[in-house]
Amino acid sequence: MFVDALWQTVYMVGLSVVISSLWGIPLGLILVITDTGGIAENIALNRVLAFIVNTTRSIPFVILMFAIIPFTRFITGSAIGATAAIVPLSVAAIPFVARVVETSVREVDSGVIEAAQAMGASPLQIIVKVLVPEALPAIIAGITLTAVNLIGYSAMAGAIGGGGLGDLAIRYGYQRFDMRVLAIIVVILIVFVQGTQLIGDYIAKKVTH
Amino acid sequence: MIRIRQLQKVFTDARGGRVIALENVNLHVKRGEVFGIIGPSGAGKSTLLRCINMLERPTQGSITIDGTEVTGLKGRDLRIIRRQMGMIFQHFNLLSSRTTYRNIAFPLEISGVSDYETKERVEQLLALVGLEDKAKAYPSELSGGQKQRVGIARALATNPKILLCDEATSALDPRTTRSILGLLKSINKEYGLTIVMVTHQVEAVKQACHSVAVIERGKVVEQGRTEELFSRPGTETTRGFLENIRVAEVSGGSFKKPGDTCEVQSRAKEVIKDVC
Ligand SMILES: Nc1ncnc2c1ncn2[C@@H]1O[C@H](COP(=O)(O)OP(=O)(O)O)[C@@H](O)[C@H]1O
Ligand SMILES: [Mg+2]
Repeated sequence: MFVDALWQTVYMVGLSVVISSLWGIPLGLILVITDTGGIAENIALNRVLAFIVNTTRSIPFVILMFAIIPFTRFITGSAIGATAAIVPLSVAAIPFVARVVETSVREVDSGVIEAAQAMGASPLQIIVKVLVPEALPAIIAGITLTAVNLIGYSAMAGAIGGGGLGDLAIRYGYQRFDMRVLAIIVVILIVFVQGTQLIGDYIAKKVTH
Repeated sequence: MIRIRQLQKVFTDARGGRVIALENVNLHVKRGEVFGIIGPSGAGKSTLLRCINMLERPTQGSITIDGTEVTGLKGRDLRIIRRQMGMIFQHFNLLSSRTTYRNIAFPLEISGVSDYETKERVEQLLALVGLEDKAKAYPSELSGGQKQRVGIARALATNPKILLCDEATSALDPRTTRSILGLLKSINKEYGLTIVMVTHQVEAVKQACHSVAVIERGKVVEQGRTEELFSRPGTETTRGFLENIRVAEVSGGSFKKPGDTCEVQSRAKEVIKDVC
């Protein structure tokens, strides 16, 4: 029972981290390079993207989860279950990752970017060979933070039949007052979060020079 | 080699005001010479240097390199011209995520040089700057002088015709400064590389530059051969500059401007004795 629920949570969180990184990292980079003085300045695009990111980020997860049910159904063919839960989890995490990446990339020393420009690097080369590698430790720390947040969100997604540890906690712990189950789930979640953080810290340290 | 004509650069500051950083600048840097640009902080030295490789777009005027007008260049054409110029910086601007080897390889990588050729070239450059044993070190593991050596090797990787130096020794101690200037001079002699050196250090100009332009508030106030100009400074700015350094040396670093011109001149003579 616990093992199944844990795997469902790992599945939901894992895939959501991957999907939100795939979308959030490019989005964060676009936010930086299109801003005033950026290497591919485009103020109109920048403002539109920033508005979308801010709007999505300001909607509480529980509301977002319900609000996008039609979209979830469209993508996965269902509104309940672990796979369906990945949609709202990813949608909520993409703007978060984008902001985290944006902040990390802005921290890259402007002198280093300038040096690359002086050497004749193209905007794409600057992104791939300068911005991302130089910001990598901060980006990894940000994605770890996203993963930890998603563990919490995935428990909420359990409330609409998303499966996983949150679902288990609600069905046994809350509805049947089984304190023992609830305690075990809390312990598993703590270990899970700590483990995620440790792995994230380890990777971030590996890429810091 | 580099001709700058009637160059003007106007910045718009945060409050929308106009800052005239360069005004009617005319310079000619000859092939194979080390050309110094000296002046007080905020004079426009960096702006002038950055106009040469278009990191800063001039508001008006012309810059030609070997007869090619660079002020209008964009995109690919600009990148090609930039690959013919190396640049080194006060704060080195190395990629912290790359080792010495991969920092030096960076300009080769972006111009699509093969791994084999890159290896050969980087090893050559490591030997040139005396860092063979630091190939695998990250910038955080290097001293300031070593970082600037990596910066120089990186700037030379694509065999540029011109090396632009923005306060390249200003973050270094006097001994390291001398060794870096020595390295630049030997590269200039051996490879005939044209070097444009921006600095506020009179010592650096004296040690390394054949010619010098003195710049103040965006204008070139004087230029000529280094020995001539420093031994017979024609303007108050140059005199004051030489004097300030002298006073700074005498009074242990604190700047003091004697108001009396005669005093300035008599002291300048003292400096000249030292210089020549
Ligand atoms: N990006 C910029 N925006 C506005 N003003 C600038 C900018 N860059 C330089 N300036 C101004 O131009 C003048 C010359 O600056 P700079 O070339 O950096 O001087 P220096 O290198 O001689 O110390 C200064 O007044 C500086 O404040
Ligand atoms: Mg400067």
